[in-house]
Amino acid sequence: MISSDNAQTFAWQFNENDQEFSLQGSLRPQRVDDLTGCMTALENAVSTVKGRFYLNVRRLVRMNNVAFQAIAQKLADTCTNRPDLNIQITTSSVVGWSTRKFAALQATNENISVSEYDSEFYPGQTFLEEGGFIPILRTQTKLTWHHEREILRRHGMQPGLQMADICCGIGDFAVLVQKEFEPGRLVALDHSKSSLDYARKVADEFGVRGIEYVFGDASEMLLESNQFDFVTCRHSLQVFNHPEHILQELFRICKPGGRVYITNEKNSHCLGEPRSETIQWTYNEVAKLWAHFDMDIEFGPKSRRYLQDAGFDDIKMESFMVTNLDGNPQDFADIIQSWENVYAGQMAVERGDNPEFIARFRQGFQDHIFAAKHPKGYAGWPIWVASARKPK
Amino acid sequence: MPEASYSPSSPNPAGNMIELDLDVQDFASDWSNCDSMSSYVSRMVCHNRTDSLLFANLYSSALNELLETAFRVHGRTGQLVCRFRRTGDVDRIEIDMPSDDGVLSFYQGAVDLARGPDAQTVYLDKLFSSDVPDMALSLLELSVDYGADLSLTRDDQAQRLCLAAELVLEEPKP
Ligand SMILES: C[S@@+](CC[C@H](N)C(=O)[O-])C[C@H]1O[C@@H](n2cnc3c(N)ncnc32)[C@H](O)[C@@H]1O
Repeated sequence: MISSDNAQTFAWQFNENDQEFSLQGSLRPQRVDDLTGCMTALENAVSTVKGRFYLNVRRLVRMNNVAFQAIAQKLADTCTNRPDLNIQITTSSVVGWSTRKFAALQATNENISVSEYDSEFYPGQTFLEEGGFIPILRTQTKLTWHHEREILRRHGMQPGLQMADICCGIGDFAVLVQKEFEPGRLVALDHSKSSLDYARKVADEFGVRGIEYVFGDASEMLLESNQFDFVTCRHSLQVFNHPEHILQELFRICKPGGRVYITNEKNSHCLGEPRSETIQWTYNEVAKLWAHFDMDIEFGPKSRRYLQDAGFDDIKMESFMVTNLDGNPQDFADIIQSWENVYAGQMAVERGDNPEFIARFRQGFQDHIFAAKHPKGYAGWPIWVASARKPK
Repeated sequence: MPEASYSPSSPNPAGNMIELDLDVQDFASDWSNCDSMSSYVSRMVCHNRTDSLLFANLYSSALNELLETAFRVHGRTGQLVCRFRRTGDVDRIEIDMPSDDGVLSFYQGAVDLARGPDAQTVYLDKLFSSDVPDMALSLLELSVDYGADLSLTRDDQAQRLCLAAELVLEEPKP
């Protein structure tokens, strides 16, 4: 249900299987008559459903009172004529006004309930958002920046571009980009309010101005179509069960001729010496564990296919390896330790793994840390970068 | 699209950010003016807010209701002047328009209702009771849903009135 065109175009749609009627875009008619088509469709939809009727306004970005009154009255009439029906309205926290506005209907009709869609966006959300990941994201970005700073140039990044970083996390990549490249505009979007608060605080503290940190859902963004020269989405397609939906949105907001830049991992290719075998075993298990939660930590090399399928051309792809030699080996070790904490300490437990498995699983991370800190050791974490152009 | 004067650095004494000035008949000749103007202005004033997208969406929604009201109820000839100001977290929108007795009494009545103690009840009442969209609904909603502080000043000699809405659209910074 991603609009291929502009987020603002008005459209409606009825899904009979789900008994769900959805409105999307901008709805500001002059007269009630202008809505006849939509109202008739709504009426027809209601006449076919039994039990529960869903009205989905998550992507309804703007609506004036002419439209609201018409819809409110239609729903109130429905409640009177069909007391058997239960009407469930889903709003979005991203839009801002809709929950408050539709709540008026709930207050006056007991068969109408309004709920804000805001959780369970992607399978591993709780692990990543509450798993003490914030400090680790910082260390990760510190180490990846070491490489990406140059890589970005090869993929078309340059000063003055209109840029968006989608799924920006705690926003430190945006800060680094702002300092290094001075884009003309930089929008950084994420669906974690705590990460955004953190991001704004950091930018403030470091006196970095001009980054617009915005709350949003990457699979249904309020950003208008065709407005960015360079759209980045780092380490994030791999956490969604439908990465193609996110890619479609990245494609939509990118200008024709602009580029989308993604980075992803393939964790089973993490490596280390000494103790390579136990390390290898653990990271193979990491891949299976993520798959269990419908996420794909093996996404990296699949980037080319996904970009092609999404309609991009001029695909450029490369990989790089973050290693213990990039800087302080302790930074590398900290990342691995946090992985162990989240993967073995939370996700494996949640999957119901037995203590023997978990102990062996943990050992591989410890061995990776051992390799990283060993005076003759080598430890690596490979990452795939891909960028592609939206055809003109 | 009407012409606009825009001063990007806002901290001038009146907090004036943008002013739109157009012939009221031109304005009222095309309904889509309301949407274009509110989208345009909201995009201009949102950039330095905590969440620019959310702010723009709320600002555009509130402004659009004011403009749609002015579209329907205004004096016949003269200029429609819209001023957009900001002091701290308070955004002030002024819609300055030609008026006559009928226009004035509509706005006076609507603002009184919106400022009154029963605004919430009246709002729900009008939402469900009247078949024709009630022209006061927008102002009521601004007050009830957006917590807007509405006020009216009039210049009888010039036959003009100015509808002002003061809004705080963002929660204070943590
Ligand atoms: C693994 S983190 C990557 C963060 C950042 N790009 C980095 O490299 O450090 C994934 C991010 O995606 C965000 N996210 C998850 N679901 C989202 C959604 N539906 N819309 C926007 N962001 C989302 C999470 O809040 C999290 O910050």
